[in-house]
Formats: sequence, C-alpha cells, structure tokens
Amino acid sequence: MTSSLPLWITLSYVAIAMAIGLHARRGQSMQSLEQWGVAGRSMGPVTLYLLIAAGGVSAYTFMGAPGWAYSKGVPVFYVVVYLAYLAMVAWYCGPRVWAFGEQFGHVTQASAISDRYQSPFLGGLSALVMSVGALAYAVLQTIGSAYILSVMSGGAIPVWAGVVAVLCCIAVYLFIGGQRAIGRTNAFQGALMFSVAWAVGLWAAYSANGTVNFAAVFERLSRDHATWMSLPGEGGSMSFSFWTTSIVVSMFSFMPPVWTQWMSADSARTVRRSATWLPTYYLVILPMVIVGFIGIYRLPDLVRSDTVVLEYAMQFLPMWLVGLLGAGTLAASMSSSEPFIHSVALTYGKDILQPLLRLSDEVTARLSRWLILPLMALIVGPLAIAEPGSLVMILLVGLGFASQVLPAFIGMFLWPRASKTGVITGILVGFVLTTLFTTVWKHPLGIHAGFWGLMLNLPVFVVVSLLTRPVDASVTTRFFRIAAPQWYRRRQALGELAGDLEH
Amino acid sequence: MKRGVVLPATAVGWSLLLAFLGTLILGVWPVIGWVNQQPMWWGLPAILVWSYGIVLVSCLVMAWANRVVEQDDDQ
Repeated sequence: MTSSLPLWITLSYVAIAMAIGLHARRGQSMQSLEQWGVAGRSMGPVTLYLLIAAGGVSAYTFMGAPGWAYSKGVPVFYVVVYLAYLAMVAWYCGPRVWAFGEQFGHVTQASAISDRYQSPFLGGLSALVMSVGALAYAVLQTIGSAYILSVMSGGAIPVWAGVVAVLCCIAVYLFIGGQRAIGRTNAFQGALMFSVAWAVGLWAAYSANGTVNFAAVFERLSRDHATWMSLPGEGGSMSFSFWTTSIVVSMFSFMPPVWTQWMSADSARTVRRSATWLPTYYLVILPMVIVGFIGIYRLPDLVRSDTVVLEYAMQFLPMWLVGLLGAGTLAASMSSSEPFIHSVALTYGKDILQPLLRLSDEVTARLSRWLILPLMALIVGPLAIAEPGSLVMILLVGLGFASQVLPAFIGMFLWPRASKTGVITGILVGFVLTTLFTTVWKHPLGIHAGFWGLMLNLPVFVVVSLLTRPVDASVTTRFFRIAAPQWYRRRQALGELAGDLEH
Repeated sequence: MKRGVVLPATAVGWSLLLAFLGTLILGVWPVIGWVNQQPMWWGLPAILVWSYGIVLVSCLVMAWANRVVEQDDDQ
C-alpha cells in the first residue's frame, strides 16, 4: 500500500478517541471505586447500549467473522443468534445485578459472588480465574490493534510499536476517566464501527456484482460453492449439535466486564431498555460477513482467511474507505480490550487485594486505578508483542471457566438453596471436564466442551448444595427480595419463608 | 419447607417465560435443522434470514416484557 491516507485516517480516529476519553472525566473525582469503577452508576440508555454493544463487538467482527464466512460459510451466523440470546439473558439478569450493586455496593461480579455465598475465598477465586480469560482476550485484541496499525502504515509501524502506542493511549484515558472514559469512547467507537461496516459491505457488494443487493453474492455462490450455504458448512465442522451447544454455552458465559457495565447504568429500567434493543446492533456483523462471502470467489487464494476484509479493501476499495476500515477495526479491538483491562484491575483490587491486605475503600480505589499500568506493562504488552502460541489455548481455557460459573448465578437469581460448597464443587468438576474436552479430546461427539462441562457441573452443584449447609437465610432473603420480588412476596404470603429461615 | 426454585408468580409471568423459551427454541436444533433444509429466501441463505429473524423476535419479546414489567412497577 503506497498511499498514506489510510494511516492518517486511522491515526485521526486514535486522536479523537483519546480526546473523548480524556474529556469523559469532566470534573468528576476518580478517587472512589463507585466513580472509577462504575461511573457513579450514571449512564443513560443510549450510552449503555453503545457501551455494551461496542464492548461485545471485537476485532472478531471485522476479521474473525468474515474469515469464518470465507472458510466455512453460514455457520458464522451462530454468533448472531447467541448474541441475541445473550441480550435476553442481560434483560433478565442485568436489572437485578444493577439493583444488587446499588443496594449492596457491589462494583464487580466477584464481589456479588462473594456477598451471595458469604465467601471472600469464592469471590477471590472467581476473580483470579476469570481474569485469565479476560487478560488473554485483551491480549488478542491488542495484537489485532497493532496488526491494523502495521497494515495501515504499510509496515512502517512494527507490531511492537503498535502495541506500545495502543496501550499507552488506552492507559492514559482509562487511568484518568475509568468507566466514564470507556462509556464515552465505546459510544463513539460503536457508532463508527456500525457506519464503517455498512459502508464497506455495501461498497464491496457493489464493486463485486454491480449492485448493493446482497442476494447477487449468494446467487453466484449457490452455483459453485453450495457447501458454504447450509450447515454443516464447508469443511463440515458445524453440525446441528455443535451449533446448538455452542449457542447454549455462549449465552450463559457471563464475563466480568458485562457486570460492571450493567452496574454503570443509572437505573434498572435503563439496563432493561438497553438490553431490549441490543440485538439490533448486531446488524453490524452482516455487511462484514458479506465481504467474507464475496472473498470466496474474488480472493480464492488467501492464505489467512481472517484477513479477507482487509485484503479485499486494499485491492478493490478506495483508499479513504480502507482508512475508515482501519479505524473501524482498531475501534473494535480497543473497545473490547479496554473494558477487560479495566475490569481485571478493578476485581484484583476489590476482590483479591482488599480482603487479603484489609485495605480501606479509599486505598483500594487508588490501588485498582494504578493496577492498570502494571497489568498493561507486565502482562498485556509483553504477551501481545511475544504472541505466544499458547495464547489461544489460554483464552479457550479461560472462556471454558467462564461458562462453568453458571451455578453461582443460578444461586443468585433462581435458587436460594444453592450453597457455597455446591457452587465450588460444580465449578471445579465442570472446569476440569471442559478443559480436558477443549485441549485433549476436542468436543466429543460434536458437542461443545463447555456443554459437556455443564452436564456434569449442574447435577453435581444441585446434589452437593442439597447435602451441604445453605447460606444464611438473611442473605438469601436480601438477594431474592430483589432477584424475584413477586415470587418472594407470594412465598411470604403463603408463610413459606418462615420455614426457609429455619433451614 | 424447602427453598424452591424461582418460578413466575402470575399468568403473565408464565407467558413471558414461554415467550423467552420459544425464542430460544427458534435458534437451536431441531428448528434450525428444518431451516437448513429450506431453499434460499429472498435470494439469501435461509440460515442468514432466520438468524436475523431471531434478532427481531428477541427484540419484540423483550419490548413486550418491558411493558409488562413497567406496568407492574407502576402498580
């Protein structure tokens, strides 16, 4: 690539994101976890919608998903389905999580777990293990950011310099503005990504077929590439069972930044309204996937399928659009990595160091804020530069754990009898089985490893919970008054809760 | 008396639960197996159209649920 226009457009995006991130603080003191961690629980529905949407749309949308369309075909749409279901889970759980946070002072997922099960150990353990997947995810997004800068500069910005530049940029506004900065920058990044994705997708369709109608793409594919057009897709890897179990596992994987985002809303109603319209944002995936499909016949010899959109843009689209694509992809990477880094710093401070060192809230808030710097300098940055081959495996194991924390949430929203021991035992057996079926014997019988884990995890969780001492009734009462108010009132009216208290 | 599982306490609550579960069933086997056998819809792969149909249905179900919840809150 000879033109410097794409690089300048991409760098302009970085400058605007910086300015928005720095401006987000606007005179607010960031000395408390309530402010730095959850933006003083102040976000309205539009900001929250874009915060969650942009946080959920990573570089995968601009690189991985089109790559899947290019190499496998329609199996890629399982992502759209599970994201829609994830929004429905958010609709149910999000307002309750917000109310827990508002009434009990939680700012992290682990602090809610710790409180519900009266176990700082369980809270700290979940914080620590969840952070493995979260950090691996942040590293992969940072690598994506650096790769984009390298491509946009025609190789003039090496990957290590791209990593340093992107992390410095994020570090500055994250330190200064915390969750407020993430909210504002994600709102900008979310709008940018959506516009860029559709501009690129429509332009690509027009350049390939002389019309913006996507049907022309599939008319051509159905003649010569029929296996891409239905399940199990090209290569035969997406069976009905893998489609189904992947969706079920993914929709119940609650990553910590999402909880922090729910807690940042100004009301439970805001969380509900944002979740309601959240699936509409996933229209962003469609045009990018269409470019992947176009690549099947216009770029048949690609070595790396996840570069299909970038390669297509550089060969067939105008330079200004290539620059916008660079900015959009960088926005997707940054908007996903910054909430993960922020939530890991927050949970390390609040759920591990505070109980361990018996720190005050003020010291914990300061410490959490400063923690983003060593996290970036000692973990995310070096790993992004070194790109260890085991990184994807670490991420898969981390996500495997995330899917196995489900019992902790069942005990928070649906089943008061869930006990600490039941949750820990369920998580442990589920995690071990998921890890085995992810790394050693991959997805036996075409069923997702996480689903196998849940099939063992959930019965063990129920049986052990029933056999062990439940959490004190005053705690479950406190939680279920919020989690299930009508159910609680009805049981209270029937006099059943008196019996509960005795158990 | 044991601590039971949280279930809807009203008929409308049960309707909402069924609507959520129904939407979930739309996206998984066996429904997705039936969709996969269909020819193209409006020139697009049936799975593509169905996936975005699920996006629409999930929004509508949640919008309806909002009305129910907010009416309850007001009462």
